[in-house]
Amino acid sequence: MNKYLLYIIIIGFGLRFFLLDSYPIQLNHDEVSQIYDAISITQTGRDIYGKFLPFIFESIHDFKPPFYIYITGLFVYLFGNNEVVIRLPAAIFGTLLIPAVYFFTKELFKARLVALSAALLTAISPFEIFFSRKSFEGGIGVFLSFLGFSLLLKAINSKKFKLLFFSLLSLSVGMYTYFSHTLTIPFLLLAFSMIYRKKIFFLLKKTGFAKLITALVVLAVILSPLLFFTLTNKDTRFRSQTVFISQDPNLTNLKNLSDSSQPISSLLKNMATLSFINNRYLEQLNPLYLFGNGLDLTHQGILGSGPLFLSLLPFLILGIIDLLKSDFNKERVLIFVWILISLIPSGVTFERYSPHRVLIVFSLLNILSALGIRYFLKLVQRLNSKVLKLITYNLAILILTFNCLYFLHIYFINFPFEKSQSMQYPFKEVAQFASAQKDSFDQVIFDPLFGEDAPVIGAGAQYYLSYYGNVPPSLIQSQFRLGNRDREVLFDKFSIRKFDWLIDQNLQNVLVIASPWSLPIKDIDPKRILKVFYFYNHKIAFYAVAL
Amino acid sequence: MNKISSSFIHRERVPLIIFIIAFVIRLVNIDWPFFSPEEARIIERGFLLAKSGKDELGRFLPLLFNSFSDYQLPLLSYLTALLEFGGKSFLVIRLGFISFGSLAAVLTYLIAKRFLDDERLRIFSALVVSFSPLLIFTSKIPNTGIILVNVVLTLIYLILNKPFNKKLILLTFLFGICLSKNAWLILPILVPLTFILFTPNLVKSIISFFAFLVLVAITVVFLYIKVPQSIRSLSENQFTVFSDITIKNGINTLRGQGLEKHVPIGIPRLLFNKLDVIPIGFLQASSYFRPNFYFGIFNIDPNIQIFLAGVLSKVIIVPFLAGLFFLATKANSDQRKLLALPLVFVIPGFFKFPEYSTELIMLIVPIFSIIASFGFKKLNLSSIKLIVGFMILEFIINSFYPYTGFVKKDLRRPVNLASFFKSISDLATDKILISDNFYEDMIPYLGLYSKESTFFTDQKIDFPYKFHESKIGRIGLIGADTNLKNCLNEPYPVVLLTKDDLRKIPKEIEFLKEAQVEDQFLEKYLYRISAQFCLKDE
Repeated sequence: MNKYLLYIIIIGFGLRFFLLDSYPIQLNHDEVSQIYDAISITQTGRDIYGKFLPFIFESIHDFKPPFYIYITGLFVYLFGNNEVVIRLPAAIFGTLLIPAVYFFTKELFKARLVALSAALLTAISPFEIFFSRKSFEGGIGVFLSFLGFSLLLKAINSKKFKLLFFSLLSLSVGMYTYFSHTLTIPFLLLAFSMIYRKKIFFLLKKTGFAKLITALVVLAVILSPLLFFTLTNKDTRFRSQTVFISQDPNLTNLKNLSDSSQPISSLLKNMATLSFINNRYLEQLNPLYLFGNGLDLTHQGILGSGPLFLSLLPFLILGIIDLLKSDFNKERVLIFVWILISLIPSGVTFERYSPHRVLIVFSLLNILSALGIRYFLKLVQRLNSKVLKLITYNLAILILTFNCLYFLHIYFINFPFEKSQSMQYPFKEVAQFASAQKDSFDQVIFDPLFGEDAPVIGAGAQYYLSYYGNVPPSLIQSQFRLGNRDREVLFDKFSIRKFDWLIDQNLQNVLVIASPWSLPIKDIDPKRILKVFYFYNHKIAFYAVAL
Repeated sequence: MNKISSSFIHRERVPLIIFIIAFVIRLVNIDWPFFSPEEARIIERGFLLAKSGKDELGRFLPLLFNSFSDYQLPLLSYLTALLEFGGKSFLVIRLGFISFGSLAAVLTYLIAKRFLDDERLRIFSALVVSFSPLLIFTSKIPNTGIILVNVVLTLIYLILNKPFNKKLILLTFLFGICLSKNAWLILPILVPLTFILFTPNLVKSIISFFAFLVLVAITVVFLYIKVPQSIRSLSENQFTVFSDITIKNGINTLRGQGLEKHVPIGIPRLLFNKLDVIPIGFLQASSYFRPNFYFGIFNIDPNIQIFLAGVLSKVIIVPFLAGLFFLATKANSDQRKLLALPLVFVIPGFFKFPEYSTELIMLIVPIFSIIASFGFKKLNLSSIKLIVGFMILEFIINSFYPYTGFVKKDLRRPVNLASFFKSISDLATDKILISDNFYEDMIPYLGLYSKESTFFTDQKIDFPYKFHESKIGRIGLIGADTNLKNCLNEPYPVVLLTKDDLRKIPKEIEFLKEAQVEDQFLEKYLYRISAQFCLKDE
């Protein structure tokens, strides 16, 4: 292997695996639900709701695609139950993406420098590091997409049918990883086939159409469960509806404002939906989001980190110019069509920005920036003064290094302070304490209403209590039930519900864990307070009170 | 493209035809939009200036005017006054600004002549400007933006066409500098840059001219900053990136978190400091080019009500992208240089954070239109027909919005309160009292509809920075801190109070109330009180 690529992979590996168990500072509700489902699958073959080998996993106000949970189940089986296991698949595939991008770029542009630059940018990009260090399933799809298209390019260039088969296999599996890949990969394949139709036809002519039919049959077999469940499973349909742009409150308000008595009202309402989709689609290219604060790592407005380094913006522009001017007609079309298609999932969903749905676009922008780096180097080479050349190179490296340092500070230092609440910190500590204390009480009540500045209901408290309390999934499957109190769920000795001091203050031998939003702490005898739980920024999150 | 015949168009008449097309497009729904309080203030002020030479504060031919949020430079008000010499007429005001809007389309065509060989493409660039939802909207209301577009286009046109006329350039330059503070940063860079880019052989001979222009701009700025509160005005409105509290707090917070985690003190200081305004400004300026502004929904300026439209017709994204492709691949260097102009237009955007200036986006429209015209070179005839068809279709659909509930419920342009303001102004009584919490800034509307214009206030205020009027002639407003008293000497015979202000009536007084005005969207009612009061401080 190319030694430079190896160095880049090592850098990428370091950035993904360094203190992986500690940063992010705690498993968020998605991660804890996924790992608990993975354990449940490994131990019982069922998810925590008792469904046997489900195609889609019910999560917290959401449904999860199956691939990541099953692969985590495999990791749990291999490495045992450990928090970091849930992050391993994302970190591993995030690291593997570096060579995948390298080979794809090299196959596409036949330029080693561009491929190395693209690999380096993939290794150090904020979005890549951020999403590779949490259990995000989309990253695996990005890897499989790059792998698939690299093989596809290699297949048509070297005329090897075997590679075509493996590429289709990779892309098919990629469709299982995340809903946005399910939507985009077929369109991308179609676009690829149209762009390279002559080469594909030539390859098939050479190898014979019988092989193609065999490959398509295998492909159909792999994809048939996906197609079947996508079309028939009501949970999948529900999931699609809940994230569709029609859920956007601004669109709803706008539709409500229109005067229904007007004959043109329904036309205008439909126009509103279409305009919102178009606007959301284009909004994903907002520089403030891409290079400013798109990763939402802080509460400090523009001071944060975008998915891409700001210092890459000039290189991105140069890269686009270079590609437009180049003779790579097919390659150019492929890259731009890929970007346009991959932006669709963000365009049709209700969130204003959803970087997790367009990861692949960021990777493609990195490839364009890599082209820009080559173009930049060419321009610098034209300078007559050696000193000027040296200054320019060093300045570019300095700015990029500064950008990296800035992101790493934001990610490792500021992000935990700023977003500990959104990571549901300190639910882990609460769960560990509650589990340790439960034998001393008749019941443990946990009210997940909490917040630094305003009350919000923390999600997935049952997963935290189950996972950190080492509650066997089989027990949850049999005991988990809804209670009679406001938002109450019950299992084991735990009651997760709204705690109302006026009603519940006279309960006996009960451990209550609730926030200052639910407890009149001044009225409570300090001796009854067993423990105080803090957010990462030292604000009080919960009290444990013995009744 | 070659199949289209252009012989039917006499070239001399093309500018006139473009002007007429743009004008007619803007005549559709001419009563819409309803004027905002700021625009109503400008119209009323224009009328006062035309009639007496005095503004709403009773000052004779002042050089700085009042607005809700800032000082206002003089030219817009005096231009509006020119339109109102014949009397106060909304139609004349609208037609005047529609003319400015239509002129922008003509100027775009004239500039396009330098860059496009094909007459039909030049016409297309003017058509794109004519159909721009943002420019249509801003062509119907008094605003500096649409005039600044004309100033900038005129300057570019004058520079591109030899022999260039120094006096005319100087006059236009001065006009722009006295029109908008954004022009202070744009014009002194735009003029030399346009010369350098497009007539480089002339640059050496007119360096002194550049220096003179810069001197003119500096003099105007210098005179401005001599005015009390002017530095504050610039800091709060034009250079907000330096005063934005969220940036200052953010820097301190992020730095403090680093220190708390025992990061060596130099690192947080190096990463988070005042120099952060440079990347922030750069990002802010570059985000003026975000595509959804132009081809999606332009909704960042609450004063601009173009519903679901973008700055340009949505379909123009196709020729625009094709135009960019053409510029990157086949264009000559002259054509490519055109791309530098929008970069100059967003320079003030570097300093304004986090708000955006619609004026700057308006300036970009003509250049984007010319770029879109380049794109038509790459498209076939059917595509062109389709695009023009879609552009017209979008305009027709957008024309329906003013008749829907969208408009009636916009508080910034309270068209449903127009009849109320008119009825108040028509009341034949001597004195009227109204609760000021009924509508945020109603004095300009009351002035707008009054038959004989009265000065808003007789207070002597030489430099009215963010001055809010609370009185107009016989109409007084009851603010949060003013109270009512029973009054026998010159009481107000008509008293209109909101429900909240009913509490201000002294307890010993009996009164009757009847619902006078109701507005379901405002969810407020005005009650006409059958008792006579004075303001306590009178």
